[in-house]
Amino acid sequence: MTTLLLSQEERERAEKKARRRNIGYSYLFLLPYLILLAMFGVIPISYAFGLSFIDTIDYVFYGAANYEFVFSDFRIVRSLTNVLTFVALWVTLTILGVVTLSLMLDNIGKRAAGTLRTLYFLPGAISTSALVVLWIFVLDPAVSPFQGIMHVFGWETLADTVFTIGMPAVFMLMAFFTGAGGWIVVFGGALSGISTDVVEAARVDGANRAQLALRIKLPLIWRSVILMGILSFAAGMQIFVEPQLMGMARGPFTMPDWSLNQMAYLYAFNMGDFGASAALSSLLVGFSISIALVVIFKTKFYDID
Amino acid sequence: MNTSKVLKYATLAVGTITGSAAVAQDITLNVWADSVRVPMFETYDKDGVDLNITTISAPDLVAKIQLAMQAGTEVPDVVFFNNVSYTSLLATRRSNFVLDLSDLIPQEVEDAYSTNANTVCEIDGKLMCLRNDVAQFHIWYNAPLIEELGETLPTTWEEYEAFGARVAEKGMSIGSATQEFPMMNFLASSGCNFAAPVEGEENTLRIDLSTEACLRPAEMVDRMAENGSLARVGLFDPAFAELYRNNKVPFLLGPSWFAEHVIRPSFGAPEGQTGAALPPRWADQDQPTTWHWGGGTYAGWRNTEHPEAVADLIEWVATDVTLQTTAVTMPAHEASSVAWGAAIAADPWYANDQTYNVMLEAVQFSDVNYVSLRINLEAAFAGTVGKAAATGESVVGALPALEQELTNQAKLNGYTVVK
Repeated sequence: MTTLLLSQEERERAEKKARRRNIGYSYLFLLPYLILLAMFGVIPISYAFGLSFIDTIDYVFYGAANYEFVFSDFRIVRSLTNVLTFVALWVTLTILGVVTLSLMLDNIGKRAAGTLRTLYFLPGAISTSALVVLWIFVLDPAVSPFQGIMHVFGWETLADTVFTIGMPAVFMLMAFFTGAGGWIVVFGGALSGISTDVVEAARVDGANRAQLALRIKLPLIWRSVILMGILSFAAGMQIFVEPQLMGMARGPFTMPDWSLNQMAYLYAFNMGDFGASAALSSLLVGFSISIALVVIFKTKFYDID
Repeated sequence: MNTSKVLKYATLAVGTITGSAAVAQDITLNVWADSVRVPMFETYDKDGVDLNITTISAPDLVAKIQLAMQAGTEVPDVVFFNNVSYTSLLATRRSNFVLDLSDLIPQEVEDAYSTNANTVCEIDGKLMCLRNDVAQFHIWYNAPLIEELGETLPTTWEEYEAFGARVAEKGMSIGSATQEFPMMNFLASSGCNFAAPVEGEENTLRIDLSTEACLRPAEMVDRMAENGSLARVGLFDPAFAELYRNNKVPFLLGPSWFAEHVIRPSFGAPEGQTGAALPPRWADQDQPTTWHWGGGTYAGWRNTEHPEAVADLIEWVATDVTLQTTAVTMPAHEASSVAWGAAIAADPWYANDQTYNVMLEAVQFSDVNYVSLRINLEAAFAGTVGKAAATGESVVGALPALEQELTNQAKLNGYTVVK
């Protein structure tokens, strides 16, 4: 009988043990992810960070010389402006476009919504490089299926179209149609997870479709919206394929140093300066991580409602 | 570095011990080339030398060399550079790849090149590579169309502009106002220093686009783009090909490879149509100056174990007359070029049998400033004057931006810039 009666102290110890075991299990389940994160995330980033302080030609400590070189490059401000303009346009369009389309799809019949989602997703299944080539044709008034509209604006050549719209906006269109479909599918999932009780209750209380979407559904999926914003921002900062492949249209579309990532590539594979390349890459990663941290902690992303 | 040194000494030591007993071993050279040049290397037949040839596609070449040097393994002993700028790009402290051939290749070899055909391989007085082919600009004309128009081909740029103005009224065009290399050719023809090496001063470039020598051709381009005689699209644009096929291009200034590789296959010009004429000069000049659009070079690796064998292979592939006779572009080595030209002269596709003679004469006017630079001239021109011409703006107005871009690029890449 007495064995079942544990003292206060003993009970606390047992509870602590159980809690520790649970945490241990959590880490066990996380292990495969953590190994991959270390192999393809933490180790390469740390390696690059270390490399950024080294002169990669003679392999000696170089202090901040690589960073100084990057900051003194006359193209840095230009590329940064290009990339930031693109990111601002693209993230805004992605958030507005994907949220609007998803909320509207949630309002129509299940079968029609499913078909449309698949259609939206299709461009995302094609590789970005192929899409860029496709876009070059779409934007060229000489061969475009939209040439009628372009001729109304008086656009005769690819240069007319691209430079009137602006390079960042062109890349925004390319990236939006590639990436939006995938997010629309994700948001379809998030919206279908909303309890029917809540939706029914709102409807009974007299909410119309717009109010239902904006006041009830949107606040319930805001975490997905933030997540999409962070991931799009990080991906957008690394834009490389689009400007690089625009060069296939030759002439004024040749832009080997349009984006920061292209510059990091040029440093390493054109100039042969892997240290400077590592410095610029470290700055890019650092910037993206800091923005993500700010957004997560300022929005109480992980708090439980 | 250290491991490779240790290995080298180890091999040397083994070599001395066994050397006396064993028969001389074949040496193997790693060769990297594009798919066109690989068959050329495959015919190399020399006792004691084996080639391990790898096909590398042109856009990846520099990146792969950088990676191989970082890794320290599989570095090629001999490479074909499809871009003349690679020689200087790969001869810096950061990427020190190119072998100095000055003492390995006799002066006679260089003397056997066409005028200024090997300037792309001379860096600060050192011979760093050998040129494969030349790409000088000259006139390519449509003979039946010229006859039909009752025109004669221009010999000066002033006549060139006047010719353009006359045919523009008929919806015709004689070139592109946006294409980078033809733009460099316009500027260079007048003696404009957009990136000219300074004689006797290492690593120094003269960049000054405010001079009359630059303004004169730029103003001409602006006027010609305005009246339509120079198209506001590039020479490879579908719209330009359409013009050419519709008999709307009486002539254009193109590089020596333009007929065989563009006019014939892409523009589909029929037999007996295409002829060559000398590039124009300015009325106040005695002779024309002509820019180049490309040309490949052969270079070696500075840390190769067999520098003599490397130099021998480079000399052979660049200057062997039998080999170069079948080359796809005009050889830079003059004797090879003449042998190669026999096929052009005999080809009934050309309007007359004088085509090759004109090409050979034109190459004598090659600009001495066409050298290997660590500046991406094409991108600098494309982003400034090319973009201006494409969007209907003035080329003259974009010259300061071009000067700024070239100066910045030159300084970034370690050049001293003078006006």
